[in-house]
Amino acid sequence: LATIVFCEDDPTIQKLIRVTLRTTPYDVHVAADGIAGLALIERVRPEVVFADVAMPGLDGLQLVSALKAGPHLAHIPVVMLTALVQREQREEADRQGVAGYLTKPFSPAELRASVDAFAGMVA
Amino acid sequence: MARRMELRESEGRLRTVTTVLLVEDNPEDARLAREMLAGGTTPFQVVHVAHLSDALDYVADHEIAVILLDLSLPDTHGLAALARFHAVDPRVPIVVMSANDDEALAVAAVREGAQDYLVKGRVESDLLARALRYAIERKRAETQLAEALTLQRDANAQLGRLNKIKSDFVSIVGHEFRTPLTSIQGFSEIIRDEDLTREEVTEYAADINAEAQRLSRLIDDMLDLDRMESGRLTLHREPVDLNTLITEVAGDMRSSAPQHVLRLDLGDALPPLSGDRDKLRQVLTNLLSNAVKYSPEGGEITLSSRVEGACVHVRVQDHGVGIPPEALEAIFERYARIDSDATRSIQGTGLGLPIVRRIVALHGGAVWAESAPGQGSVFHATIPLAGASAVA
Repeated sequence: LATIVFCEDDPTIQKLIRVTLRTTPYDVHVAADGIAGLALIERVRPEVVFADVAMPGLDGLQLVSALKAGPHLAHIPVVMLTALVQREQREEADRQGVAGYLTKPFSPAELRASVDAFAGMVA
Repeated sequence: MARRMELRESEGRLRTVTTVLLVEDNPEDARLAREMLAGGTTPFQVVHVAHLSDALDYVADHEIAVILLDLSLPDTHGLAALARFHAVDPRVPIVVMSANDDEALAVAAVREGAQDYLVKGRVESDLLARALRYAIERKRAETQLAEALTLQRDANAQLGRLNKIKSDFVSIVGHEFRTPLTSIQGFSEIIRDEDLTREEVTEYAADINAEAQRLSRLIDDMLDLDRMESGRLTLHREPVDLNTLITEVAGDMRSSAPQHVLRLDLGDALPPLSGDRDKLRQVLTNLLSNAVKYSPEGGEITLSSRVEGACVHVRVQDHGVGIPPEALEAIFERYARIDSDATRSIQGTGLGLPIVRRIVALHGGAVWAESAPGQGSVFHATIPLAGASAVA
């Protein structure tokens, strides 16, 4: 049973994620911002993290850097949930070692496929 | 007819007195130059100095049309004088008059900014007059071209800035629209594709509805702000009892945010002010909903009103997350929220406070905020009682 952490600050999208994944065989955890997300990742050691780019406290890219800085968390792939798809931002994200992207708005099927791909890949 | 007028005008311009600064230390050469300038058809007024330093002082303090410059002076020699004049006033044309018939030096002089290079003893009255007139016209054209180029460069820079603002705006709007759209698309697909209970369908439909309303508010806010910023929004003024309005808005807020304690501290004998009731309601609603949003743990919110001089002073105080000092001004600017870590978590259009500032400014008043992070914020709005109006 793969564990997944989502970092997403919009409460309705948090709910959408839970509802979309409630019938999937994953242990889903959701944090409302990057700082809470980092603490959650430390605690549950997920197989994959999905993080919003624009978040308070610690944004998606800063979260990736923070994970890469700690040797015990550096291996965890991070998929960016993003509405911001500008090329420069994507290049910056690639440099930081982002594993993939899921662009908003995404459909539940896309979210499930992306989760399967990353959680299955690391399982 | 028009052409003849132009001709007459240009002849007239040539007949007006042209001031020449003659920089020449040799008295005989100076006398010759004066004679030549006096002998032609163009009336010149000649100011004669023998030293470069005197010439520079004169140029600094007087409007002169052209400089006739000898390259060999007591306090300078060669082309260095050209740069000295340029430093004092780059707009004054210079014609070099030299004893030295040296083609290389002549070319160098023109490269250094001289308009012409004349050789002493080879010039007569009309040639000198023509050289000076042409020098003045060429320099004028050069200066105009340089000014046009500067204007063009400024315009290009301004366009670049506007383009950056536009693309930032598009990217922010894209982000703000995609967030509610994600929920709308997601929940509607779940309702379409999955077997749900009736309660679940109702619940997710309510979520879709709330997000659609959020999108709609976002569009309304954007259009409102755009109308105010472009001066297309006019106030519908009437006598407004602000205390009544505050009480109504507070009532709405109490039902939508029951976990917050809302305290009203309304001043006595508040005279009616001349304002747009709907717009002032929007100001109060935005300030109050901000106070609620930024007090996630609940806590007391105080709304007060007082007459101060010719204004009503409204204060909205919360005990929420507060605002860092560097953001106190920026929060009133469009989409500042996006850029600030401290405030980005909060849902909303990011346009609430910019709208508040515009509406209050249209009423001739002012808004500002005081805050310390972690200790809550106080938002102030002053609105003139009489119908003072100001450009937003």
